[in-house]
Amino acid sequence: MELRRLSALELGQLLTKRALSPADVQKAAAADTLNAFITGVPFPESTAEGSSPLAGVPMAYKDNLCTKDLPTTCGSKLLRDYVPSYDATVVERLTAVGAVSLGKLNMDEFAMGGTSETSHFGPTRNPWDPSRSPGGSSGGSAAAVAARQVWYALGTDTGGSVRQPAAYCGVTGLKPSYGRVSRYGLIAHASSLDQIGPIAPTAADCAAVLDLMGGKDPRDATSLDLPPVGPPDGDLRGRKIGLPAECFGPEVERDVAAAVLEAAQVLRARGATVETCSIPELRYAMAAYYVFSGAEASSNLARFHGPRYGDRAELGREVKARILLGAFVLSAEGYEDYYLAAQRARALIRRAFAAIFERYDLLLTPTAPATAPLLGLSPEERRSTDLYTIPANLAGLPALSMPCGFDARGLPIGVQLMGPALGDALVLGAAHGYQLETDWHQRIPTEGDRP
Amino acid sequence: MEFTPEQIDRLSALACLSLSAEEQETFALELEQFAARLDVLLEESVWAAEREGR
Repeated sequence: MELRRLSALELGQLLTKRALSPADVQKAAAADTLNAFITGVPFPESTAEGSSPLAGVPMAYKDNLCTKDLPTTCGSKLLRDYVPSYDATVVERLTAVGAVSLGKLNMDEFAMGGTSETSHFGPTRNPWDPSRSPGGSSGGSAAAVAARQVWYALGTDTGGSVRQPAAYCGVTGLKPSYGRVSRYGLIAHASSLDQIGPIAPTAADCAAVLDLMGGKDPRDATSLDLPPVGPPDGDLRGRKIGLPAECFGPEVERDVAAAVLEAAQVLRARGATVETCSIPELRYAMAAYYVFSGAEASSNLARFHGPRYGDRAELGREVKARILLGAFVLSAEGYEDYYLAAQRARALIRRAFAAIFERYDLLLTPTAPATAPLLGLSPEERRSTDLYTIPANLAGLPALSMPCGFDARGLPIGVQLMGPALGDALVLGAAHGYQLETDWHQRIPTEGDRP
Repeated sequence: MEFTPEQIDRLSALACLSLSAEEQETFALELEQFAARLDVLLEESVWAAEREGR
């Protein structure tokens, strides 16, 4: 049995039944040749005790999630020596049910970037082609899962930072509805947009991780008391799925569009109705996103100043640029023209989604217009990769990316499913239905699987 | 919208950032380009919101 081909749940099942030992899993796990980890933790010698279906399955955390007594750098030189005295809620909850963490994963500095290249610790490489980026900002998380250094990982998604790297690396990534997962212990980028999400081989794995770490937390006032999503059923009969025309413009590479339309056919074959729709307000999303993320980042990062943290000159270029933009849109000169205008744009986008989800259960789009880029993009190019993922953050919606094919260069293509607010189970169910019919999510970056 | 060196100075002071001369120049240009793009899209969205009576 090739353990790297198993999903996290399948591996967990074998560990629970003691059909596998931690030593077997350690032998199967890939070494880090991609710079996916910032801080590694030795593989445990004994089987982890825990009641969860993922107990003992190797996993890791993005390095902006606080871990007690383990460095949490946020990919920044500024925090290179920061060792938290507490665990983030998600870490605490997963540890309590037997999660086996192998450490902390590389990321764009303060989660600002779309290629993992702004990390102080150097870029992570894409396991399908090491000359390319794994995406970002959760690039280390997606690369580590794709290469099967771990079987699942946590990332964070402010504008697509779970879904876009999942797409570039050929794995499944979920941005839950805003409020479904506590953000306590997450070093904030933009608090009104940030959500913590799982990256794993399958949608069923993501659902399991979500239920283990989600739910109300008194330490995060925005967290919600919701029933678990449960194992996804994969039933698509009677579902109405919209394909927003705005997400299939000329910027989308031909192979990407073809693979996404093929995915639509698969969903149709499982009983869904799929038709084109239009959401013109999506064109405001990018502008509004950069106003809010800049404004909130400049406010959140204001705490890293003074004698305790040293000189802010240690911040990287991208972080400085966004802080400056945030300071501008919050200043007297920029507040009305930009911040208030962006608030109106966000309201329009939310209303447009509310209206479209009265007609459709789900929306289907490419996750990104293109597949993984070569390392070395300009800051401007790096920012354009989140075009289709940003709207879900602005409206607080659940959205998932899953693999749906490969382009002519042999790079994975991701398709995004978006659902109405708190419709996480609907999104996961549809994704599971798709994965029951296809095997793209079972491909791993080895010779035999490369197209 | 153009960003003068004085404006960048003021913004970096506001944000407690110490910028090199080169960074000041680059960011001024970047902010200018960014503001131009935001202008078009956000103005349009404001009009759309007004049309909807919001």
